[in-house]
Amino acid sequence: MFLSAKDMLTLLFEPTTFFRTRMARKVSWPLMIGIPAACVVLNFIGTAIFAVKEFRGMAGIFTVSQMPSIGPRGAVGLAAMSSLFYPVVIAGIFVATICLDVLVGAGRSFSLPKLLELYCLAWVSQVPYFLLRVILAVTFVPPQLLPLRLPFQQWVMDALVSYNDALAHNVAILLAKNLGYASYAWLIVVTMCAYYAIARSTVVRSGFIGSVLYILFFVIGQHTFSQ
Amino acid sequence: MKRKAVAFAVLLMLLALIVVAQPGAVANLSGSTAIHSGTSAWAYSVGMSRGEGLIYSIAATVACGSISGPGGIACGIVAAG
Repeated sequence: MFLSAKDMLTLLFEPTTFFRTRMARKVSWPLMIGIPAACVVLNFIGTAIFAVKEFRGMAGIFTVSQMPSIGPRGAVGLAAMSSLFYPVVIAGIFVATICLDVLVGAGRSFSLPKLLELYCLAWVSQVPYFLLRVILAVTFVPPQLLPLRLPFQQWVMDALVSYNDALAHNVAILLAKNLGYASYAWLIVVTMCAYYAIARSTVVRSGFIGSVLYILFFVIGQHTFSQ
Repeated sequence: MKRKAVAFAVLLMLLALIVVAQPGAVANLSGSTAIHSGTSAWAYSVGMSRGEGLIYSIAATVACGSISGPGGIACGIVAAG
């Protein structure tokens, strides 16, 4: 039911061997639910700490502008909604893999619940990143804005733009974002090791499917939805 | 052939789902001074007033810029509400 330390090390250094070993076992539903749930919780903690501090940094802008301020509840809600999206991504990657397998796969049949279990297990690779993100969030100090002498509307806009720029250059945020990109690339590599093991695919085919998945979920998605 | 057509259609739908949510979620704060984020229906539904909802939406959009990957995607959608 649980992953031992040896299992974790095998997943880290020999993912294909780990997934081949798991294929021989029955599908473990607690693990399938538990690992994504742990990722959601860890991500929630990191995002909530970041968001509460960022909102606190922005509170000054809104107070000076005599606009209603947002308390920590809003930041926590934002973190919760953001974290709950991870299971949707796992489902999306799973569905996209099946489609790509039909289009370019080897045409060998495999158990879909097993593939889903292996994909959920692959998210173990994200746990170190999420832990590191919590540490970065704790050390994060929101930028302080100096009051600008500008007309009201322009002041708010300029202050928000300055704050946004300051956030974009903050070391903790830069580290968290760049580690995120690297970590998601690693996730796709591990996920493709699972696909390679279960579908008995070739390295080239798995690499192609992995590249499409990364572009779809972590390149197009990221550049479409964020700034 | 039919299976391949269905698989291709599902992939296109996934791509469309990712791209379609774009306009509301984008806050191009770095390039221009215009905030495209609208009023946040999500914020109103949890009891925020109209002014609070708008401010929440703007603040959330700024905060979302610091989240990478899937979390950032969801964050942008929530902010655009």
